[in-house]
Parts: sequence; structure tokens; C-alpha cells
Amino acid sequence: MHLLTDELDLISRLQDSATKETAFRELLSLHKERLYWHIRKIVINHDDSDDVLQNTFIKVFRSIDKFKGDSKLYSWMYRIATNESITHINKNAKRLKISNEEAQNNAINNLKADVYFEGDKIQIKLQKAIATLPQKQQLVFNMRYFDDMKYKDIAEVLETSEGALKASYHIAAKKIETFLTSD
Amino acid sequence: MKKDKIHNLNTTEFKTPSNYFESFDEKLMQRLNEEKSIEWISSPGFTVPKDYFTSVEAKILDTVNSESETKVVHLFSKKQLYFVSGIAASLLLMLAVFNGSATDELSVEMVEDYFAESSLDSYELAELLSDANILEYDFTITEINNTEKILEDYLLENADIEAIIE
Repeated sequence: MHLLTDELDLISRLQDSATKETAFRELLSLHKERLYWHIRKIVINHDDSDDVLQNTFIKVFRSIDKFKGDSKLYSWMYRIATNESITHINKNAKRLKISNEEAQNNAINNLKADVYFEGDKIQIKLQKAIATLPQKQQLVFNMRYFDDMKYKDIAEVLETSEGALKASYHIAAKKIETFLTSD
Repeated sequence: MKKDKIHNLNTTEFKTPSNYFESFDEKLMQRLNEEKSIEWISSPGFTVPKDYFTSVEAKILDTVNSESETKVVHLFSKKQLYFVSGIAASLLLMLAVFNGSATDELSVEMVEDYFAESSLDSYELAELLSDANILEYDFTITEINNTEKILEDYLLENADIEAIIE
């Protein structure tokens, strides 16, 4: 894995206790928005996304010393954010004694009344369509469609092959298209 | 003039609701909007509170700063803790096995429950076993000197005298 010099420099400053805090501030301002939108698309609601974003960065701060540079720093953070988001959904579902799918559908149904949602019917329908997909297809679809991520980068985050991802994305897009054009 | 002659019927007399054509465009656009293909949707429509990204940065920094100021020094690392608890559990298990029902404090079930309820997953347990290098040999007593003395002490300490008299 080839890491850029800037990234290597940031990593070494993050792993040095004398420079850790300044480097962490840099990391925060570089990645917080992208990670937030990634999380938001998984957990849907702003307050939950806020919790998950904070947990993600705290986890990054605590475990940066163990980061070996096997992947890009941002892929590693995306992976933490993805895992934290899924854990959050699971915890919520467990607390409410409902399935993960039900928890996700409840979150989508609450969008209409959400002040931090400006989409209209079609966006709600799109969220409902995404929710019908298996978890991994949902992740691939969101990362590729909205974030325009390269398959290579998605593969690194989800630790899977590019070929499998391409197939996953096309299946997901087709299912969503069918869902959107149906009544 | 005969009104029922076909050449005189130059209108169908069908009517439309009032303002039908005026409202048609909007209705059609709305429908197109609802049925539009996925390519038309460029954003999921989520927004954030004003200045959220500035405030969240401050919140995260506060948390990590307070953590680094009051850094907790663990007496045992997680791995060491698993190691020690593993040994403790093994010893308890041995005690339970060799003492049988003589003790009210521990049973095989309790140790099983301990493992079932602890948050250790099978990988952590496996890691623990390889670290501790536990062998079957560790659970067998190969040699006991002064057997009689030990047995006597054991009976004195543990046996229910009334049961023996009976």
C-alpha cells in the first residue's frame, strides 16, 4: 500500500505524543464532514449521526497508535465509522426490541417531521428503496452513488474485492430503480 | 335544419373540469418528479444544524483532552486481565472438581455460567489458552505424598460429621 508523504507525516505526528493533539485537530478538520455524511446515510437521523461521529473520532484518537498503515488513513477511519454506525443501529434496535430493518424503517418514516431533512417525497422513497437492500449493498450504493467513491477505495473500506463490489453496486442500483418506478 | 344529421355534429360535447389545462402542467411535472429515475436524485436531502461542524470539533477535542489529562493507568492490560482471569477460572474449576459438593461456593455450573456470561468470545478464549499453554497434564494430579494425612485433613475440614456417624 502506497501512502502519500503528507499522510505518512500526519500519521507519524498523530503517533507522537508531543504532536498528537495538533495533528488530531488537523485530522478532525480534514475528515469530519465526509465522515459525518457517510454516517448520516447509514443511521439517517442527525442526533444519532452526531453520537456516532464523536464515537468514531474518539476511537480513532485512542487507537491511532495501533494504526500500522496497512491501508489509507481515511479508509481506516471510514471503516471505524461504518462499524460504529452499524453497532449504533444494532444497539438501538436491541433497546427497542425490534429488528434492525424495523429500526431503519422507523428512522426513515420520521424523516418527514425531521427539521434536518430538506428532501421531498422522492428522497424519502429513495431512502425506503435503499433500506430494502442487504446491509452491504446499502453501504456500497451510498458510497458509490452519493459520495462518488472509487471502487478501489470502497474495496479498502469494506475489505472486499473490487469485482464483487461492482456486481453489488449494479444489483443495488437496479433494485432501487425498480423500487422508484413502481407505485 | 336537422340537428341529428352526422355532418352537423361537429363537437363531442365532452367537457373538462374547470382550470384543467391550467393545472395539467403542474400535475404532470409533479408526477414526473415522483417517478423520476435514480439519476435525477443528486443528494439524499439531509441537512445539519447551523455551525454543527464547528461545535462537534470542539466537543470531540474536549472529550479527548479530558481523557489524556486524566489518563487511567490500568493495573492489568486487557490481555493480562484475560490471562489472570483465565487462570483464576481454571483454578476455581479444579477446586470445584476436586472438592465436589463439599463447597457451597462454587459449582461447575457456576464456572460455565462465568464463561457464558463473560464477554470473552471464542477467539479471545482460544488466545487465552495458547498464552497460558494449558495442558491436560495441568488438570491431573500425578503424585500425592502423605495421602493418608491429606485425606484425614480433608475429612476433618470438609466432611459432615453427622453424616459419618450415621
